[in-house]
Parts: sequence; structure tokens; C-alpha cells
Amino acid sequence: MTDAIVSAGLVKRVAGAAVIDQVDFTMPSGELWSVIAPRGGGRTTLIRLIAGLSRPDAGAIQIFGRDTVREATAVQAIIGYVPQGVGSYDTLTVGENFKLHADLRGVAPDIRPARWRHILGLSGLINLTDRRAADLPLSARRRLALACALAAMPRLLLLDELTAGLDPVARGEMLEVLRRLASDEKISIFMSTTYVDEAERCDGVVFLTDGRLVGRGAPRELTSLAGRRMRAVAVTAADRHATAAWLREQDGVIDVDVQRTCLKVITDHAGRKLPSQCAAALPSGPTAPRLDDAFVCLLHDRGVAMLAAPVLHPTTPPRPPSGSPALDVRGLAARQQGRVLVHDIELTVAPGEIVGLIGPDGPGKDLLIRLLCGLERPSAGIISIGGVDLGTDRRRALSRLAHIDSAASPYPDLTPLQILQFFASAGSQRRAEREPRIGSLLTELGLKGAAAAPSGSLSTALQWRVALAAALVSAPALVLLGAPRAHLDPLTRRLVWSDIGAVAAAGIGVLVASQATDDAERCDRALLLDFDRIAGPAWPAGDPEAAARKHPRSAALAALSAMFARPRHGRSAE
Amino acid sequence: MTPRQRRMIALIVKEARQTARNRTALSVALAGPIVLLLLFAYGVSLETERVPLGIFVEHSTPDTRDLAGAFYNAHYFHAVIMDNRRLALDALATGRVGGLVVLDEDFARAAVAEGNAPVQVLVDGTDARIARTVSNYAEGAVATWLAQRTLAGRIGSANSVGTAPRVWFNSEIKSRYFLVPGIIGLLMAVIGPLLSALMVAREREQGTMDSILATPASPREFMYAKLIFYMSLGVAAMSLMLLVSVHVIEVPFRGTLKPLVMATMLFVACNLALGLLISITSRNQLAAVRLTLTTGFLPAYMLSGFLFDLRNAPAPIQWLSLIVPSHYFVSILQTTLLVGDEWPILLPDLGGLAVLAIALIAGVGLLVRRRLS
Repeated sequence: MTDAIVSAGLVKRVAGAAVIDQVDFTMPSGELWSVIAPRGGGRTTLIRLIAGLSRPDAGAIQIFGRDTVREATAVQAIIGYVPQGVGSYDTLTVGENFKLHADLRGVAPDIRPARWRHILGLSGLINLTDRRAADLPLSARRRLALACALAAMPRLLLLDELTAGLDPVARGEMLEVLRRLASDEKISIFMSTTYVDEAERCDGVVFLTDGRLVGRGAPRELTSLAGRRMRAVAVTAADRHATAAWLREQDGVIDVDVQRTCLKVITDHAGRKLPSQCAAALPSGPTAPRLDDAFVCLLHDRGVAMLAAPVLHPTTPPRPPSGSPALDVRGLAARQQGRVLVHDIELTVAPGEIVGLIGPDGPGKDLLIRLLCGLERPSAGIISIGGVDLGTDRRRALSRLAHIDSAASPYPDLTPLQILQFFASAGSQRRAEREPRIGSLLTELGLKGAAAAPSGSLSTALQWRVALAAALVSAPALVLLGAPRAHLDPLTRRLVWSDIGAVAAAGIGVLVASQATDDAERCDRALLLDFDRIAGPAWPAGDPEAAARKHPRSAALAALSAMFARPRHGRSAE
Repeated sequence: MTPRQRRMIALIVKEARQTARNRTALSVALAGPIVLLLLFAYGVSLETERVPLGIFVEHSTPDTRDLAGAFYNAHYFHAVIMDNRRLALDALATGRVGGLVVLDEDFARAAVAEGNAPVQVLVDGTDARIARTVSNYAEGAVATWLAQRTLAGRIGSANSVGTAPRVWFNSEIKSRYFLVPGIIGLLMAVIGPLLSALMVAREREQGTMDSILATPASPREFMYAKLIFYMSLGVAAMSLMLLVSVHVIEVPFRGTLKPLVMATMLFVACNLALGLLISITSRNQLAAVRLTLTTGFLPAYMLSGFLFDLRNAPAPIQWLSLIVPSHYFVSILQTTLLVGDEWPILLPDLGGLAVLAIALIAGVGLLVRRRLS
């Protein structure tokens, strides 16, 4: 059988710069593959090239043996493509959207009803035929886009970030659908994703950075190579950041991923021994690697420099008055339009502690974040930030809080220096204090070299650093991270976590809102957030069924707790 | 039916469904123009009426009262008699009056003695149009008054030569008649590109365009389906505006439908093609709106001859106006509505429109191929 995709020497230039540079890979027929890359790394360009929507400047792609340029029509007849975004017309109904694609692809009228029923079943859209696309939840809209691409039963499906922004449960379901399409319908699927857990469930992975191919192959092979270079070092919550910082300084250590109970250390080659003090003082053993660990190894071996984990000057942010927590929430409740959206919220974040607020996205979570930011008034309860009551002294309390709601630069047209100057003066700091703080933040966060460039032109990782620096410049007691990381690639997400560790090590409390279990693994404590209340700590978790019984109101939460209860390969030290 | 025709029909049906369910698009295309048309037609007037005019009378005599009365009764003016020179000049300087007729000591004396009285007319030149009206009328009024006085002196003289002015094509010299065709051209020049540019930009933003282009439908089919659908919408909007103009605003319609229909089709095609060109080059809806205003609205406003008579413009500006579709369209509308089917005037205009329409549509086809593949 011919291969589904053969990419040979593929090059695509935009305005002279190569956005795809010498990419070779072969995807066998009937498999499910994914491409992972940072933003601007060439994901979408690669998929558009395969779809024949864009012509390569050099090299060629063959789809089932047919060239995408010379045999464009033949190729278009056998592919289905779901672009980034919603991909279906919001004013048309589900049925009309599908009919449009069936018409355009010339699906014969006599086979349509059967085909339609079949695809509805595959994509889980039954009973929604007459609903307008705009009225569907995001996950159903994505399934609609998928159904449209399936109209002519293509041999190859190209999916650009089909699962972006969906909650973990919806993502899991979508991947089930894709797996079924590949196994039952023999449809080959090539998709882009930013989620490691999805890529790990694929048959093959293509990893791009700056348009260059850094790695390709089966996830299991890639991770097992990385596994030989990894050690887990057991730590306690109190010393994990300090130990991580020390380990990063050691010879041959290229990355330390700080988890709740252990440090995952990656070395430069398989034979590398960890420093003897470390081995003597702390029990260490092998650990099950994730795909992003493999990417770290691949990048290092290719000589691609990654941003170093920062060490923030511990005296830079003034510690909150001794004894007062970074955040203290007591008996918080609030309603919106007469409906109680959150109630009985009790939440404490100690200085230097990382607390996760884990749960599906929803109005309750949004409201809670807005309450903490002082944008909404609670109907009951007290919020104090760094020892200052938000209800009675709003201005002083808010000056101790920094909210990061997007991992991108807040003002893409301004330079990092200008952004920091703005945030510092908006935080009413005196000039004499401002300048040295900005200077040290730029140095500590590795922004010195980029301080004069428009921040929008920086890499994803550096833009996150700009957002972080803007938050830290006002010397907060608490950093609140909304859910800004959904679209980040795995490596930038990793960087975000090593930075959060540095923030905590500098004595600042961190509250992270997230729906990912991976994030919970990296917090000191994690709380499960049901729709309107805190359901309890994520650990210790019981068995999945007990968890489901405990949170009957939220299917998504039940699934989340079940995930916690499942043994996780990241924690092999246990 | 060939597959290509089937695809085109599917795409056109899609556009129709989307527009029918999109209240914003419908109101932009149909309700907006009517409201704006009425607003412009009744709200904007180039006529000079009831300009405040000061009459400074230094020494009241029967002659001065008589002349002042002539200004008093003219509907162009709202005359105010003043007897303090300083206050009168002040009123002119501060803009409370648009002009000042000075009948001073000399006038009273000279009028009585010689029948050749000096009248000074001071005009606020800030608004050139009003200034010209005021000075022309004041001169005329004084001349008439003098003539009447002379006549009154020798009644029975048969030597007086009378003039009876007659204005063709717009006998009441109503600026509304002249403005309405311009407004229709202007509105169409904004709405057409805006609709098509926004629709394509939106499809790009939402990723729907890519999903269509990955099917056997070609970029050109995609664009031409839009062109065909919005043509019909544009023609509908145009017909609506013409109906309102003729039946509500009561602009005369002296020509026939034939040249009008031809001109409308060509003009709408030009504007939609312009919108599609804009949408292909701009990245998002905001950029599309900005570009539409600068390439659609402003040239139509300034270079169509709608407000500013291009015959007075410098030569380069006149050449520039040759590539503005509304320049031809406004001229055709004015001709068919106010004059009639004057083919010697209509044909060159129609030809100009046709050339532009063909060039723009070809441009869309070319750019679509280059940009999207």
C-alpha cells in the first residue's frame, strides 16, 4: 500500500524567510499522526502545503502517490481539511453546512442520506441537524467541521488544531473519534496539536521548530530514547525549587522539571551520572518520560538553545508582612443575575506556595477570578491579598496582586522596556525604585537582548516572559494565572512552569487556574473546582468510581478526579 | 448540470442563506441606504436661505427705508436693521450676520441729489458659497432698486429691457435634485465594497474560506459566486433607492430604465469587485473596513462630481477621476433622471464604467490566483 503522505525536501518561504525548511517525513496509510510546534513554528503552513492550498518553493509532497501541485485536483478529491478556527458557517444549520460540503464535493444525491447518518453517528452530532452552528458549544462546532470534512469520505484527513481550547474531557472524546476513524474507516489522519497527551496517543509525531524538523517517529520510540537520559529525584515540597535550581547548575543537566513529589532531571547523554552529592543525599531512580521530555532532548542534541530557567532576586519583591498569607479567602459567595455562581469558597495561598485551582472552565471559575481581581463584588465573604482586605482597602489590596490572563505580550506594538515602564508607573512606583527593578527583571528573565524590539515580534517563550515581567514589576504578593496556556506548545508550557517555580522561590504566592491534570502535578497543592464550589483537594485521590460518586453534578469533574486517581507514569518514584 | 455549475449554485445558495439570516448585513444593504438617502435629501441643502444680514442705516430717510425693505422681503435673508456702526461691524466680525449692507450719510445725500447712491456691502467670506450669494443678491437688489427709482421718475418710458431667466433641467434650481443622484452613487460606492470585503474577511478569520478551498471548488468559483450573489443584492438596493427617490423625494425621472439598468449593473459590479480586491489584500475585517473607506468612500465623495464640480479641478485631479466608477455613474444618474436618455452623454459614461468593471473583475481573478494558490 502506498504511503499517505510523503514529504521530501519541503521548503516554503514567506517574504524570503523559510517557514518550512527541508522537512522530510513519511506517514504510512491508515495511521494517525500529529505535528507539534511552537506558535510560528510552521504547523499551519505544513498542513496547508499538504492540503494543496499553498505551493512549496522547493521539494514536493505526495498524497497516496499523487503530487499536491501537479495533480492538485486529484489530491483535493481525496482529502478532507479542517482549518484552524471554527471552520463552519455560524448562520447555517448543521445540516446546511454538511450539504454545502457534499455539494461542493459532488457527493451523489442517492448515497447522501446514508452517508449523512453514518457521519452524524461518527461525529456524535445526532439530533443537532437543525441547530444553527452558532448555537452549538465549541466542541460540537469542531465535530461539525470534522463532519463537513468527512462529507466525501476522504482517504486523508488534515486537521489544524481541532482540539484547541477544548476541555480535557472533550479532547479525549475527540481523540476517540479520530482513533475510530483511523481504525474502522481506514482514514489516514494528520493533525496539529499543542497537547502532549494527544500526541502521545498518535501513531507518529512530527516535531518542528522554526520550520525545521527536529524529530519524527512513533511517540513510544521518541520517549524511550529520552527515558535513558532521565532520572527522577524525590524531593519535599519545601526544598524542591532550591534543589531544582542547584541541579540546573550541574554539569550535564539540561533540564529539570519540577513536579510535586519529584524532580525529573534530563541529562545530556544516557551514561551521565547525577552529581554524587545528589545521588547520596536523595534517592533517585529511572522515570517514565513524556513526549515533551523527548522534545527537550531532541532540541538539545540539535544545539537549539532554550531559555534558561530564571533565578529571581528574592529581595526584589517585598515579602508580605510576616505571618499574613499571599491570599486568604473566607466564606466567599457571589451571584450573578440572581443566580449563585460560587459559594463557600475557602482558599489560602501561603507566600512562596503554588496552589492549583483545577476544574472545567465555566462561569463559576470566571467569576471567581474576577472576584479575586476586584472586578466583581462578593455577596458574602472576605478576600485578603497579602494581608490587606480587598473589601475595605481595594486599592492597596490590588497593588499586591498581579493577574496574568494571557501568555502573550499585553501590548505587541510596544517594546518590553516600554511595557515594563508603563506597568511600573501605572502601579504608581517612584522613578527611583522603578528603574532598578525594571533593569533587574529584564536581566533575570532573559529579556535584556530583546528589550528594544516590538514585543509582538518575539518568540512565544519571550512573550510569556514579557507578560510575567509586567506582572512582577509592581512587586506583588500574589500572582494569579488565569487559563492563558491553552494554546501554548508543550515546551513553552514547560518554561511557564519553571518560571512559576522561580516566582514561588522568590516568596511570591501563585494561584494557577487550570483544567489540565498535568498542571496539578506541578503545584504544591491542588484544589478541585466544581461548577460553583471547591470540591476538595486533588490529593489524596480515591478510586475513580468513588470520585465520580463524590461529584455527581459535574461529569467533567468526575472524569478529572478519575484521572487523578489513575496511576500516572510521571510519578514512578512512588 | 456540470459539477462546476452545481458547485456555483451551492455557493450562491450558501451566500443567500447567510445574508437572509444576518440582520446586520441586510440592514447595511437595504435599510441603511434608504435612511441615509432620506437624511441626505432632506437634511443637506446647498441652497442659501435666510442668511442673517445686517443693514446699517446711519441716517434714516425714505430712501434708506425703501432699500432696506427690499432686503427685508427677500427669502434669502433674515435682515436686521442696525444703527450703531461699531455694533454692526462687531456682528459681522463675530459671525452673527453673514453680510452687512452699509447705508451711511453719503447714501442718503447722494441718493436724493444725484440718483447715483454709493452702497457698501461687506460680506463674511469664510463660507465662499454664502458670500457669493450675499454679494450677488445685494448688488442685484441695489441695482433693481435704483432702476425702479429711475423708472418711477419717468413713468411711461418704453425703453426698458426686461430679462426673464429660465433654468433648464432643474427649473426650481433645487439642489436636492442635483444631490440625490450623487448620494445614490456615494451610498452604493460605500455599501458595495463594504459588504463584499467584510464577508470575505470574515470567512478568512473564521477559517471557513480555507475549508471551502480545500474542496474541488476553486478560489475563482468561490469569488465569482460571491460576486453574482452580491450583484443581485446591490441591484435590489439600487432599485429601492431609485423608487424612494422618484416616489418619495419626488426627483423627476425623465429618461428610461434601459440606460439606468445597464449603468447599475456595471456600477455594482465595479464596487463589489473593488470590495473583493480589498478583502483579498487585507488580513482582517478591521483592515478591510479601513481600506474600503479610503478606496471606496473618499474617491466617490470627492471625485465623482457629487459635491465638487470637477470641471474646476486641476487637470491631474480630473484624470484621476477617470478611474473612479462613481464619477461615471453619478453623471449617468443625473442625465437619466434630470435630462432624459441623451445617448451622446450616456454612451461615453457607460463605456467608461464597462472598462472599469472588466478591469476590476479581471483583477479579482488574477489576484485570487496569485494570492490564494
